[in-house]
Amino acid sequence: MARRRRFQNAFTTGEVGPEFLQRAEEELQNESAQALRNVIIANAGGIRRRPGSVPKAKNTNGVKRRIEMFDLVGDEIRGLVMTDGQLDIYETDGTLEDTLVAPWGEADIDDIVHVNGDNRFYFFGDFFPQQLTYTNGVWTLADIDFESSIGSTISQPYWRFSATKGISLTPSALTGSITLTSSDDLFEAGHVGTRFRYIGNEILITAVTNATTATGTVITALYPTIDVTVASSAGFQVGEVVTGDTSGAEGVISSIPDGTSLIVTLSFGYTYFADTETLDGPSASTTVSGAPSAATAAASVIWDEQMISSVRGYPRAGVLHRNRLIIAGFPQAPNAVAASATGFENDFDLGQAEDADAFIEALGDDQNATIRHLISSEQLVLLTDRACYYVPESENSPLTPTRVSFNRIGPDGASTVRPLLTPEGVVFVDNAGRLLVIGATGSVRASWAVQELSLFSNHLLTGPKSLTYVDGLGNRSERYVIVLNEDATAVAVAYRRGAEQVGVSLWTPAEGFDWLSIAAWKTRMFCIQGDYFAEFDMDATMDLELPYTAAATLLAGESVYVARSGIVWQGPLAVNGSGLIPTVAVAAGQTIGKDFRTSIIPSPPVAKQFGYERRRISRLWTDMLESGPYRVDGELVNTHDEDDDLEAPPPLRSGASEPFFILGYDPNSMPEISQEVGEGAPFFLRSLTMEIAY
Amino acid sequence: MAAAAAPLMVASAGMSLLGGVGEARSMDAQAKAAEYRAKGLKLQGKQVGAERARDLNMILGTIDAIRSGRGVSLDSPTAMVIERAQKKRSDTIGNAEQLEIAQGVVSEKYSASQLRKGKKFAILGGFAQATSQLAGAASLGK
Repeated sequence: MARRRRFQNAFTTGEVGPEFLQRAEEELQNESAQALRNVIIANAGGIRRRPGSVPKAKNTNGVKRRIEMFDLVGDEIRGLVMTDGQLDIYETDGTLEDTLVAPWGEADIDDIVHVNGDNRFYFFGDFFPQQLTYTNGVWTLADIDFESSIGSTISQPYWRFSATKGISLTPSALTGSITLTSSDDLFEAGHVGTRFRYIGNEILITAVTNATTATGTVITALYPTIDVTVASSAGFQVGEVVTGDTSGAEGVISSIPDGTSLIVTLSFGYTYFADTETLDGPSASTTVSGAPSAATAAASVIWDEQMISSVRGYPRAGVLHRNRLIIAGFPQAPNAVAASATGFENDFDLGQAEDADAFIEALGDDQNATIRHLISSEQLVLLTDRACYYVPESENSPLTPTRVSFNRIGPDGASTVRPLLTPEGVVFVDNAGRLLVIGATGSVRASWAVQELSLFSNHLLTGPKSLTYVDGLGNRSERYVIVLNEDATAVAVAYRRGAEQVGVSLWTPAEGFDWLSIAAWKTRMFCIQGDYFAEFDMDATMDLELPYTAAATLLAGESVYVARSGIVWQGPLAVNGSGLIPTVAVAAGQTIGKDFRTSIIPSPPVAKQFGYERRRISRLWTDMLESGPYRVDGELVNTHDEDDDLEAPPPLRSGASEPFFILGYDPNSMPEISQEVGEGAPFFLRSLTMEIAY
Repeated sequence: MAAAAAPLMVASAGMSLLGGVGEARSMDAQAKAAEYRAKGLKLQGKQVGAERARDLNMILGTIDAIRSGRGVSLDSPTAMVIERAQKKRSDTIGNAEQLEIAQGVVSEKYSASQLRKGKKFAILGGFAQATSQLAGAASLGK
């Protein structure tokens, strides 16, 4: 039987799907694996055991929990843990700083969008947008407080919802408490406390009588309706806009009673038309003959209502971009984007569309698109359920109300998973569950392009629920995008600068302690694992690992393994209510935690020049770096030497191994390199060499 | 000598009378010209107004075309504000133009009215001068 060897010193393509295992390209044949479990792909190409986690605090409120990191100031950060109706604020050492009542329920938690501003944090979801502020050591969570403006108006976004188009409103008076009558069903009980604008003037709804009648308090006097006597009303039409040529007054014709009079509702001004001036309309002109007089307020279709309310729903997306708070994902205006005034995140007054004014725009080329995500990158990026867009801007052509442009990048619709900004671009999960990245092209015309990241490893994306980006975890040079799946597995996407392909490995949590949420801040990565707020740690061999140099009360009641010098020694053992394991004395260098299994299965060798061959792996060599015990095809490699103290923890070893003889004749079997539960230890595989008998 | 000058003075009085009438006719012609100019300005005002409306429609159409090209909705709140602001700008410019033209009309009408008044005074002035000269001639003839 002939033999040949295959040397593999890089796993940079990571675990590839079974469909790719007969491909012979370099990156698939020599740089991939059939399985990579609970390991990371190092920049050097080798494989390292994944980081364990260190518990910081226990949080048992509800079932669903989610963590986000709040970048406070400088290097000061807080862990914000969202649970049912509650927001817990932790320092990174696990100290609970505050617990606030929150408007969200468990059903909302996964979909909440957060925006980190300067000492403030915004939350968007199925509730009125919230603003978390930190002032002089005091935390406050409250509804976004839109700016008050002239005449007690509120500078909040207003919108005319498509469902109400064609409905007219008639006020009973111009000031005070009035009755509003709509021409069709409009009002709901939830409108009480909201504001409508009748031709730009605000009315606070104080009571709803029925679907077509409501009571409101006029905030700013409504523009009057006037009776204008003219030389001739011939040629004018109801609904036309007429303008006085000298007064500049403007209004909409609401009715034409006879040949010499027009009933006009003034728009955006209180000044009447002047006697003898010319009244110009789109298709006729006439002369005002006599001073106009006040008439009964007329019905008008020029009205809108506040964009955010319990009746119209709440925005699900938000971002801070160029000193504006930009919000979108309005349930009844799904393609609309509302941006605050520059430098005033709570001011959505559109003003005169001057450069610093707020703006409210909508996607023009897809009325039915739902904006799911907003990302502040070099430019503003919008992801909808059916395409992705960018808003072109530069230092010479900044984002202003008159310069807004939605340029389509491509027809890739985004899922509801919150995207991620990385140095290479915007990483997101599309509707098909693939991991895509929108990267800058450097071209002026097509500034952004979409590429797929998960081509070879899509089988591991078993229901993405969140994305996290961490750079330099544990002072290492790797960068990872962590995709947390619904089944509590995590996909670690090694993301090397300049590389065309990412490398992917699958992480599974220690049994019984699912990851509910993962979040990162710069080089640190945190999680909610089971009931614990924890931090990932490259020096931790196990999950939820604590020093056992003293009582570990945080793990009281848990079943744990004991490690010495990072090498799992014995277990599982119960931690009693005092944080102690009765049979194991606390000692220096000891830790306790939840161990997990690691596994590496190389890709099967493919000889492109021969095609099918009956072959098997007969021997295997490994080259390790500072590693403890591990198994090759089930055979335990103990790093103790003959003359070592066998009672002491096994030392970490580097270098090449003796050959492992792989038994069996199954041509499809590939040897596995593993660390079983209860045998966890530092592990770094630099290379492996397989002898192939054929 | 004095008796010899009297016929000349009578002739001069006649000339003064004729001069006054001529000046009055000239002023009348100028007044009519001013009235024509006023009418012309009024017409110009209407034309400028119509042109301004056409310009505004073109600008609004261009704004819509640009917005369509930029992939933004044509009836968003900001689109309405931009449209309103553009109308306001156009109205401001149009009103200034109309005001200037209206001032021109008033000015021309005032000129016409002054010239008409001047016409009366020209006849009266010629008549007065002639009368004075005839009186002088009569005193010389005694």
